[in-house]
Amino acid sequence: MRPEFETFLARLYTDAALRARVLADPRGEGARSQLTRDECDALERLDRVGLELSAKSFAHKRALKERIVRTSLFSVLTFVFSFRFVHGLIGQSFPAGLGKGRTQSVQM
Amino acid sequence: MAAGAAGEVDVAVVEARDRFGVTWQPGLAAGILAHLDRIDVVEVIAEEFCGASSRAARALQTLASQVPVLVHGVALGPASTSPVETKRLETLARLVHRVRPAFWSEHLACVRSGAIEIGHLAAAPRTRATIDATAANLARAAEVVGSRPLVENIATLMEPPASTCSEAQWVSGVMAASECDLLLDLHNLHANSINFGIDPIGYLDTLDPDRIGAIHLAGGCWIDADSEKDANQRRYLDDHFHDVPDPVYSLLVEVGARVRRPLTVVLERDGRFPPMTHLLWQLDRARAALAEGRSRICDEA
Repeated sequence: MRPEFETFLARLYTDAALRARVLADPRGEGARSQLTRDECDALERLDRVGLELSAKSFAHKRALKERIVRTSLFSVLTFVFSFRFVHGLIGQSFPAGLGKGRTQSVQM
Repeated sequence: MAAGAAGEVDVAVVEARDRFGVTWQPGLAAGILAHLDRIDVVEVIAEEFCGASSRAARALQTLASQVPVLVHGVALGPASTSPVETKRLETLARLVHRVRPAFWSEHLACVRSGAIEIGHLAAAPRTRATIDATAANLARAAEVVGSRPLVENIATLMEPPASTCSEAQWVSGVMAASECDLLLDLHNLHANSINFGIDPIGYLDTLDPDRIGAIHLAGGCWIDADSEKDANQRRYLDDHFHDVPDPVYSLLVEVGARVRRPLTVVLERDGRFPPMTHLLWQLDRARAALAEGRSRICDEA
C-alpha cells in the first residue's frame, strides 16, 4: 500500500467533507486525489455504513481524548488518591501466597 | 511448556499457570485491590502513565509490587507504512523499564498517518505491504523497548479498503513476519464475525495456537446507521461498557482446547461499572470456560 493512500484513508475517516465527496463520487474524488486505478476501485466498493459509523466512532474518541487532556491532572490525582486510600484501608502489604503466584511473573 | 513423561502436555500444570485479571480503572481501584486473592494480573493502559507525574508512577510501581502488571498500549499504531514515532517508543520503554510488566502489548492498528490523528484504532488495509510495514514497526518497537510486544487483533466497523487477504491471514502474516505472539481479543473476533460474517472457529483454526499468549474479553452493543438512506442497517460495536456475551465464553472454550501453553486472560471494562462481585463472577466464568477447553485436550490425550 502506498503511504499516500494510507493518508487519504486517514483523511477519509476524519474529514466529513471529503467523506461526502467520496460517497457521492468515489472514482472522481479518487482521481482528483491522484489515487491509482486500484485505489479508486477500492473506493467504489467502500462499505458506506461502516465508514460513517467508523468516522463517528473516531470523532467520539478524539473528543474524548481532548477532554482527557484537559482533565489529565485530575485523573492522575484520582489514581494516586484511590490507590493510597484503599491501600491504607487494607494494609501496607498483602500476605504472601494470598493470590496464585502473585509475586512471580506471568509465564508466557 | 509443561510436558508429561511421554512428552505430552501436562494440562493440569498448564492450567495452574493460567492467569486471570482485569484492566485497571480508577473507578475499580477499591474493588481490585480488595480482591487480589481472585485477581492474578492487572493490565494498565500505557498512555495513561506515559508522562504521568512521579507520584502516579510511584503508585503504579507499588501496584506492580503487589500483583503482576501488564502494560497495554493503544497509541503506537504499528500497522502503518509510517515508522512508529521514536519519542513514543522511548516514553513507553521508560514505563516498561520502571514497571517491569509480565509483558507489554499493542494493537495491530493504524492510529495516524502523516499529520492526521485518526483518534482511535483503524484497521489497516490487509495486504502484503502492510504486513511487512507492520513487522518493521514491531521490530523497531522491540528494539527500543527491549522486548517484543504481544500484538492484538482489533475490532472494526468497516472492512479496510483495498484489502487483498482475510483478517485471519493478515494477522497470521504479521505474527510470522514479526515473531510477535498474539493477544487474541475474543470480543473483537466476535464483533468482526457478526459484522462481516466471518466464521470465528475458522479464524481460530488459521492461527498458530502455540503463538497465542494472552486473551482479552469484553462486551459491546449494537449501533444503528444515522442516515435515512441506510436505515435498518447496524453494526456491533466493541465498547467495553457491557458484560462479556455468551458466544465469547464459547470461543474461550475453543481456545482452551487448542492452546497448550499457559494463558493470561484479561477482562476489559472501561465504564458503566457493575459491582465488583459481578466482574469477579465474569472472571470465574472465564476460568471455567478455559478449564472446559483444557479438559478437551485431556480427553483427546
